[in-house]
Amino acid sequence: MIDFPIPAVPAYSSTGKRTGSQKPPGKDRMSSAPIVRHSLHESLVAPLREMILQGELRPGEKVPEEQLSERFGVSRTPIREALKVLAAEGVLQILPHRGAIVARITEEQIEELFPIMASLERLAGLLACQNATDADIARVRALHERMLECYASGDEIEYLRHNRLIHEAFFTLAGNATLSAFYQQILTRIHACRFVVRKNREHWQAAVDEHTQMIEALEARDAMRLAALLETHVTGTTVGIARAFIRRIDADAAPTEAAPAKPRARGRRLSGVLTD
Amino acid sequence: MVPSETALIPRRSLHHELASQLRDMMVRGDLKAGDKINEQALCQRFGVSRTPLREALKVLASDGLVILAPNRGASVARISPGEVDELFPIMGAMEALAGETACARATDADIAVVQALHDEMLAFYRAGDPAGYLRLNRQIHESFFDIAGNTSLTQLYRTLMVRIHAVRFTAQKSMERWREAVEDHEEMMAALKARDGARLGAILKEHLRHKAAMVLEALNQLDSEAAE
Repeated sequence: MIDFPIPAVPAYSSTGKRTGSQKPPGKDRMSSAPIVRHSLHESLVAPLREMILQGELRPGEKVPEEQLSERFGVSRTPIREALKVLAAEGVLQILPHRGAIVARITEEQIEELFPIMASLERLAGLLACQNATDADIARVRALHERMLECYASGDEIEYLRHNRLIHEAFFTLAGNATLSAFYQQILTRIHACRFVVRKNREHWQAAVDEHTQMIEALEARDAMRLAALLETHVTGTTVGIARAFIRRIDADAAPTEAAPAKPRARGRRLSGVLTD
Repeated sequence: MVPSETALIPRRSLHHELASQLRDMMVRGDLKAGDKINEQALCQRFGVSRTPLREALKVLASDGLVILAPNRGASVARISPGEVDELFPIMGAMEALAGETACARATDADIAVVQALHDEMLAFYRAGDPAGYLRLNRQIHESFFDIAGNTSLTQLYRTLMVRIHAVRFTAQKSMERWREAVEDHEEMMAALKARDGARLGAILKEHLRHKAAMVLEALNQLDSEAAE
């Protein structure tokens, strides 16, 4: 089974400069390996991101720099550099004199950002169906099969990685650099609650079923169907997972039942209002 | 009034006035997309020095209408057919979402405001005034985003607008295209009044497809003119 690594750097320029639109959609773009860099802090970004996705570092929590430097056997400087990278992506907030806090997302932000995400994915699906070669489709199918294996074995981390790769594949196949840039911009902001470890079996099963329908629509080159599936996937199941996720985080962070939410809410002000 | 203030106001309004005049020249086609801007000729025409003219060009550059190239002066911005293909479908998706959300959220007062803009736009259309028409047209599209109230969506829309903006002025509409656009707007208004979000979204996507086709026609025309 072919494995596609998640590029550490998005395949478009953040200035919106079009790098991919000149090239016809093809296999080389999807399979090209990212440039591997060996700087210490960059190699720390991925494991830190995984810690956040796995819920080891939770939204609203302070990032324990000292523990991390012990755990990875590095000094605090590269840890801080890695945290800055994640902060630039919107995954963390760096507060003066207080260190880094894992970014939280509010219900309001979910209401605002997921519909945008859905409309971008919808368009990506349309364009991907129009542009995809048979080889492209086979590659997405392979990612899908691999994702199903991860689902069957309950490997959430690998499941999520492949899930993300499939969504990114639609954007790559769409071949619209501005569309990809917008997607990454929104994804970064909802990172904290999309592609997260999900505990709810029903949500997970629904997402897997929807993905199976999507790959079938792609194979049938049914652009309207793929577009509609992507839209409902994001506005339905994905947003449901996100809401459940932030409510769970909120509940976990809430004080014991005896204590009212008010004093606690004040302390959480900086990381987003989640008291409703 | 303090003298220093009175001295500031005319200077500020001079380059804004110039920017507005230059915009009109673009709308009328006196300045065409891709044209080099002859600063000296414009200074003579408007009877101004180069400083306010350059200020005006900076304003237009920040709107994406003018390209300022170091040591090469200014030229009227021009979008490529590739960019039209890339940007208009995204614009369509963003407008459709704005329209759908606006229908779900619009108050009666909101709808009355859009109706007033629409009526005013029609008056410019009947009078054959493309500059006035375009101004109102833009306000109507923006009002969908205002009513939708999704800040992130509006922000993405603005990013696109800056890149697409130049094109609105390159597109010298044929009367037939113009009539089509007005018909689209009539349908939009009806959908908004009926608060039919799905319908407004669909019309907006179609409207943007029309716009893209119109722009590509205009670009082709410019190319064939340039080739002559």
